This record gives sequence, structure tokens and C-alpha cells, in this order.
Amino acid sequence: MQPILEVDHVTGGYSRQQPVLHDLNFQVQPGEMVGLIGLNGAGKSTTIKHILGLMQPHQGEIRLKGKTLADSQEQYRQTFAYVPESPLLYEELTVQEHLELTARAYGVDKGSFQKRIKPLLEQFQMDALTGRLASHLSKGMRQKVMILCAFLVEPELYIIDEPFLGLDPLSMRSLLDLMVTVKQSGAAILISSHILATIERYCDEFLVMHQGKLIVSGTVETLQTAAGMPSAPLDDVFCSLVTRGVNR
Amino acid sequence: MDMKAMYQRRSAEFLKEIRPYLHYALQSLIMSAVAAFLLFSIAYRLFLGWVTPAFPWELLCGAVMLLPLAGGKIRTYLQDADILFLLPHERGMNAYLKAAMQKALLLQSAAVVAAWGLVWPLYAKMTASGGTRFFLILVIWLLFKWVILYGKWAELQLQEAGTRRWFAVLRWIGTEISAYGMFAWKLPYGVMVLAAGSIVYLALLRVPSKYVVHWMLLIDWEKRHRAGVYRILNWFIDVPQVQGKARNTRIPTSWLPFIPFQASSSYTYMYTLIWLRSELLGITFRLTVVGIVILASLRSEWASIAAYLAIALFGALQLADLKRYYRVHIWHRIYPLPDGLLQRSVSSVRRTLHLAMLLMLAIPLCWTLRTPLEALALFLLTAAASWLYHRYK
Repeated sequence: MQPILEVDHVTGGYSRQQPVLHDLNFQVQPGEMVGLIGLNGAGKSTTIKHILGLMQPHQGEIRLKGKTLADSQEQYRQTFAYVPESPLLYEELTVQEHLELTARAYGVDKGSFQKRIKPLLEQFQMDALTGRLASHLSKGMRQKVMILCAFLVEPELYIIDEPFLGLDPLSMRSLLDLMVTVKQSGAAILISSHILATIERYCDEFLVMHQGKLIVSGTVETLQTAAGMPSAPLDDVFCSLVTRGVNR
Repeated sequence: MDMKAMYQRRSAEFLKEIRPYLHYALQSLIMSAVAAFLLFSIAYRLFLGWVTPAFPWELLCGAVMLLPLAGGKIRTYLQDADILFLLPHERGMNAYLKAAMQKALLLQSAAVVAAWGLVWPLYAKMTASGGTRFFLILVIWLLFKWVILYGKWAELQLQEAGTRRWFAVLRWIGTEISAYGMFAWKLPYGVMVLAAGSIVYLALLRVPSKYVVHWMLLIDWEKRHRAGVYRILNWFIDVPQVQGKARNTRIPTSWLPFIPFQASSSYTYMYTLIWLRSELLGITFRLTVVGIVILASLRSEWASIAAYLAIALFGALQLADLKRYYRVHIWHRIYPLPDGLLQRSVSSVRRTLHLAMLLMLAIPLCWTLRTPLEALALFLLTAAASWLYHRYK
């Protein structure tokens, strides 16, 4: 099966003299949920920026469905939807208008748009707020708009960066349920989060990053074996792996 | 905390912030300003030679005095964070706000002196007045400006938005009547009406409920003033994006049926909404209404053409500001939309709005110009220029 995302020996960062990412190499398959974990400054957000096409690798290639950004910018971008760590909204647009703008941008037709938004809005308790301007929303509500926009598009790959910040417990559960649903329908998810206890239960595989390098990748069992901590929770395994990484 | 020093520091910081752009704008403007001043001086001299008491000069003088008397901004430089840090010192804000008022009074009084200096040659000719009257009326104007500025400040502290709007309308209408009265009636009557009007206005302002300092409104207005300064500088040089507060205008979806639900219309949809909710809607609307009134009141063919072109140019400059909104935004690099679509869409929205404005402004020209065909020709010519401007600028 062709991977939906291929990160092929990527070295990158803001400066060629001091790369942040060092020879990253991993794949994400359709129907797979992969957790990108690491300490602050490990390179998670920089990795995501490279995948989004906001930064260009110094070496190596990133392919979505076998195509690089240079091959076809529009096809590349059509493959994924992104939920940023900090909500990025247009202050002059309402919740409904953000959703409509996203639907238009991704070529979702009007009928599908109308069919998809109702359950999404209800699931995230946003149905009463569709007419509210972005500038009048709380941090959590703004984050929900970002989530709604991404899930409205129904892409093949979801790139989700720290989605739980500012979300209430009910919305966190809705998001996790939604991730399970889209995963079951064949979509892939790359999620970065510090809430390891939560993503441990949902992700199929993990990418442990430390100081810009991928130090371990695989299932929870693989990580446990690498850490020499069979049946330990991901939190402990992660701490052991990165502490060992620091001392190495 | 030295509140007056804080105000002065913020004022100086803002000046420092805009200085690079201001420098460039002045460089670009200086030659055109000198040329415009010379042309205006010649035209004004010719007008003074031609004008007779039969000309409605009182209305013209009243109109010239209206803007400096009733208008003007009160820059407070208040910021969002002040709600946390300065609100606890609300009672001690007097020195800060007094400094803001003093600065506004100084600048706006200078504008009143300039406007009166402009009107004076016409007034002197029509009423055969001497220099003493110039100074006497100037003192009256300055006192009146002080009343109006105080009134505007009180307006800003009103708790009810509806009441605030009514007082703003009262300020503009009252100022126009008073200014017109000073020219149209004998001076003692004019002064009496102006004084009586001022007393009634100040007394009325005491009635509605007010905040000690209406923080949220003052911060919103400050944002708008900053955005306004940057908007003007943007006519000369690319400036950073500084937006005023979005207006919470309800726009039913059925209002935008002309924008197809498809990817290529995404940015057209977005920028139409931004125009509807930003300060640009009010600016476009006011400019069009004022333009129609001016064009409908002019009787000279050449004056009408010149006014039409001037308003068209001003409208184009104002609408060009739309491109500054979200010029750089992460979603523009993530949406699967072709490069260049954003620029094309902004240009298209600007062009469409300007075209609608030009069309409405051309309606009174059908009566002012010799034939409606002339009005149509002028409209088409200006529309072509507008297309080129919005396409390439």
C-alpha cells in the first residue's frame, strides 16, 4: 500500500548552518494514527511546518500520496487538513463563514458542505454560535473552529498540532471520537501532543523526537522494548527514552 | 505613576513607529502638495474675483468650517492591556486623559484657525469686514471648538450606544446650523444662536448615564485611529497590517448569491466579507453619499467633472486598502488554491466596489452635464482607469 505521507531522510530548519531536523525518516499509512511526541524544542512543530510546505527541507524529500509540493502544489495541499496549535482565524468572519470559506477553498460542494456542518457543529456544541464573529470567541471556541474546518474537508491526512490546548473535556472527547471515526474510514492522522496518557490509547504508532532527531518509532510495545520498560505507561517510557537521549 | 509622562511617551512612541513611513509619504507628497496649493491659490483668487453676494457663500463657508469644528480625533493611545494595568488606577487617570484632550484641542484648534484663514477672504469680501472681526470671530470659533470637543469626549463616555449615536448626529447638525448662522445672520444673532445652542448641548449631555472612563470604547476607537493613520500612509508606501475592530454586522447568506460556491471564488467571498465588516464599508458608504450630494449641488459642468474625478480617485485610494488585510496569512499557504488567486480576487473585489461607486456617482451627473451621454462617457472613461488602477496597484 502506498503511504499517504513519506518523510524521506529530511534535514531542515530555518538556517542551513544550523539545521533543526536531522535526517528524519518515517511514513504514515492510510487508516493509521501516528503520535509525534517530544520535549519542547525537539523539532515537532518544525517537522509539521516542513510537511505543510511552509518550510523547505535542506536535504531529502516529503511526499504526500507520492507527490512532492514541487510536483503539484494544489494536489499536495488538497491531501491534508491542518489544525494549528494556536487558532488562526480571520477576525471579520463568523464561525459559519470560516466553515464556508474552508469548504470553498477545498472544493467541497454546497450540498456536501450543508450536510457535513450540522453534525459537526452539534458535536462540538457550536451550533448556537455560527453567527458569532471570530473576534468574539474564546480561545477554546476558536480552537473548535479550527477543528471543525479540518474535519469538514474530510481529507486523506489530518495534521493536528497540540489540539487539546484550551478544549473543554467534552470537546476533547468529541475530537478523539471524530479521530477514531475518520481513521476507521481510511484517513491517516499525524498528531502532536504532550498529553501522552490520552494519545497512548488512540495512536497506532509513535515517533519520538529528541533534539531534532527521530530517536525511536513504532508501537507502544516497540517503545517499551527500546526503553527496557515492558508494560510501562507511555509517559514513563517517553521520559526514560528522552532522558537517555539527553545523556547519550 | 506619572500618567502625563506615560501619555507623552506613548504619543512619542507612535510618532517614532510611523516616522519611516511618514518620511516616505512626505517625500512622495511634497511636490504634488505644492502644485495643488498653487493651483488652488490661483483658482481661489479667480473665484474671489468672480463671486457676488448672490452666490450661496454662507452655505459654502459653513461647509468648510463644519469638518474642523465638529470633527477631529481624540488620540488616547489606550491599549487592550490597559484594562488590566490601568483600570485599577481609573480615578487617577485624569492627568493621562487631560493630556489627550489638550493635544486634541491644540491640533484641532490649529485646524480651525487654518479653515477660518481659508474662509476669511471670502467672508471679508461678502461682508466688507476688517481685521478686528477676523480675530473676534476666531475667538468665538475656538471657544466653540472647545465646547464641541468637550461634548465629543462626554459622548464617548456614554453607556448606551444608541444615545451616543444620537448625540453624534446632534453634534454634526448643531455645528452646521451654528456655523451657517454665523455667516448668514447678523453677527450678534449668530453668536447668540451659537452660545444658546452650546449651552443646551452641554446641558443635554449631563442627562444620560456615563462611565468614568469607557475603556472598551476608547480602546476600540484608538485601534480605528491607528488603522486610519496606516490606511492613509498606505496610499504612499506599503505599511504593516493594522486593522480596526471588525464590526458585528449580520450578513444573511442570501446577500452574497453572486459569489459562486466554488474554490476559485474563495478569496472573493472572504474579501467581500472583510469589506463589509471593516471600516472600509463606512468609508465607501460615506464617500459615495457625500459625493452624490456634492455632485447634485454643483451647477458648473467643469466643476462637476473635476469633483467626480476627485471623488473617484479618493474612492480608489481608500478601496486599495483592502489588499492590506491578511496579505500574509498562514492559510493562504495551506489552502489548495493556485498562486496569484488571492491578488486577483482582492483586485476584483476592489474593482467591483469602485465600479458600483462610480455608477452611483454618475447618476447626478446625468442632470449636471449637458446630456446623459456625457455622463456615460465620463463614467466609462473613469471605469477604464479604475480597472487599470486596481489591476496593477
